[in-house]
Amino acid sequence: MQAHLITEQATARIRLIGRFDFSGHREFKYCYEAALKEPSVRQIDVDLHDVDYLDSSALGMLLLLKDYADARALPVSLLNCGGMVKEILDVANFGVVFAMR
Amino acid sequence: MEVAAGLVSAVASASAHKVLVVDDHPQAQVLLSRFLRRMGYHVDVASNGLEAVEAVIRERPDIVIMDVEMPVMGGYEATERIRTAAHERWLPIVFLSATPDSGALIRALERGGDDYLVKPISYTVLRAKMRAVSRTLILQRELEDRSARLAAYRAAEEEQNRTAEHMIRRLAGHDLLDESVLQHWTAAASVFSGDLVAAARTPSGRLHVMLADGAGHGLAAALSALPVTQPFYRMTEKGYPLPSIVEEMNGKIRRLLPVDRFVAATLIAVDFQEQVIEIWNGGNPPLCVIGEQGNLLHLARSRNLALGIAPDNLFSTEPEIYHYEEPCQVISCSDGLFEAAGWHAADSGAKLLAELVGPHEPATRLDRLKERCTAVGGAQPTNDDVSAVVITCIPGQYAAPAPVLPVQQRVDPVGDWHFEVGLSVGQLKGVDVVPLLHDVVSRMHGWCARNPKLFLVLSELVSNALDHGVLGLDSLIKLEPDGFQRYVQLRQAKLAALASGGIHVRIAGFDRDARPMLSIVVKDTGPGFDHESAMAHEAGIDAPYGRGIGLLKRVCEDVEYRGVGNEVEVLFAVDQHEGSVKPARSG
Repeated sequence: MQAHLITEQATARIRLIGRFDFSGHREFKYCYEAALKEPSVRQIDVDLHDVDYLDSSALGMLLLLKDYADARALPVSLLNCGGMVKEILDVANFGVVFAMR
Repeated sequence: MEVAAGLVSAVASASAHKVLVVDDHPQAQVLLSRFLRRMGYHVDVASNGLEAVEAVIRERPDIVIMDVEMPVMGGYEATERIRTAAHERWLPIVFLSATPDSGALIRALERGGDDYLVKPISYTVLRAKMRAVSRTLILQRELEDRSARLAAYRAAEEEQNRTAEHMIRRLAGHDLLDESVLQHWTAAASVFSGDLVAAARTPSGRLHVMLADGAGHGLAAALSALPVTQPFYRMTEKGYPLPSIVEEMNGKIRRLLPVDRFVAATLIAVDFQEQVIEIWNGGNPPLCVIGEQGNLLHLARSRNLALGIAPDNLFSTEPEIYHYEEPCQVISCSDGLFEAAGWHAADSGAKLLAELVGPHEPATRLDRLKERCTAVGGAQPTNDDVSAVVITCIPGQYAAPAPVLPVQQRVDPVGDWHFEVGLSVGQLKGVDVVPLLHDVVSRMHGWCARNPKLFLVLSELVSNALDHGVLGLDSLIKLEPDGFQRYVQLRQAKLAALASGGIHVRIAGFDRDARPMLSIVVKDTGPGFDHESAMAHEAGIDAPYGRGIGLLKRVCEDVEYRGVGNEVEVLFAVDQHEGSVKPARSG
């Protein structure tokens, strides 16, 4: 998996590409840590448009990001969830804890 | 990197290498030894093959230089014996021979030699060869050392795994899954399974089944799933309903696990008397209820977050209710199974599951699932843990397990005791009353209170007082089509809206003719009912109406309604057990 951080004004967007599982742990962590360090950031978006699969450890990583973001009172949204990714997020009922756009 | 480091150290540590020189000519021995010592080697000598074998065993040299033709035992035979003696480590052997042809060289290598020098020895060639052998030897020793450490590490890990696996099995209660109505299957992606299946009965004989899936796989996942087992078994044993168990598990997982770990879980409660299946699905693929003919009767989707993610206010513990009126099977699987079978963990996958197993004999449906997983994935079916449970429900078959009660055990009189508890709206909405009452009686009477009938009596009395007394529900609703679901919904709505009312319970224990007895009085604030005609009418024991009076009359020594019918007293013999004959009434 590739992870890219794009910061535009107050929004940090983490764009993920490929299969989101534990092997992408370091890339994802690197991005969200960088986003959380940026004092101007007021919102974190995780763009899942180009993710074709995610597993339970990916769900765990999203929860971890949310936990850190909560500590800074930053909202976290999941963007462009479609197909298989949406099915997995729906079964997990992640709509309850994340805004999905 | 590693190789370069090895080469540098080769020169430095060549001095540590020990060489055994085997030659029957004293002069050659001396010359060779002197030369090698100057190169920095330790040198031992032997004068024939037999001595060489002895020296290898005794001195453990690192390199052997061996003449081919010697008296007593030649070089080739000695080499064969040395190879047998020093099989576990690499010992380079360099042959010396007066024959310069290539046939001799090939023969030497075939007989176990590593290199070959022609006599008379060129010391320049010898020096180069010795250095090359030393370098290889150092790399080889490093490799041997690493593989020895790896083997030791692996043995230690296997030992730890064995212990961990044993404890996880015991803690997870895998041995308790002995239910004829239940089939289950788990397959781990590694030594440990993060998927876990558990089953237990409440005191009144309801079957509780749990399929839990710790996030990820391996030991961490297995450890994550473990904390749910204790509340599951302990609270089921005490007769708590699913919502209380789910709430306790969620809190426990939240307290114990790191933020990114959670446990997807499906909890199923089957009341074989009422023919009701309750399902709570948090994060697992849809559960299917499939009829005898293979028709899909019901899908219970994940309506909740997995355990350990949400605080209580974002979390619904309310189960989904399905009332079965025909023989059916409940099939619940982890997402690992859906993945292994090549299905999406969504409605589409659940429908494919039903299509696959539906046409087959109910008893063989689990085998069809296993076959599918192996057929799709081959011998190594998954990279995630896989699990499935199948519960067979047949109307009219209670499938109650034989009660585990000691027979003919002497009962010590416990003497008189009593307690009273008044419950108002708050407790009626939020407290599991029956387990609470049952717990108190159990503490007073020990093992003999583990009688399923006692729990049943308490449940009947309390639900009569609450449902019909305080909430004013009519159980005839249950007889209508889909009546059961409607009854449950109505009950939930009325309880949520309840503003006044209460239940008073008094339980007294005493001994009569050296037998422990209970008097249970339950009084509610409802308007009562026509108890005289209800008492006269013998409703069937499993009739969904008649306030379970038929059942109470069968199980209790005495049932007496008072006043307008909002107060009832029953007399219950604590030591009765399955098959015991009700003794003649005394007095």
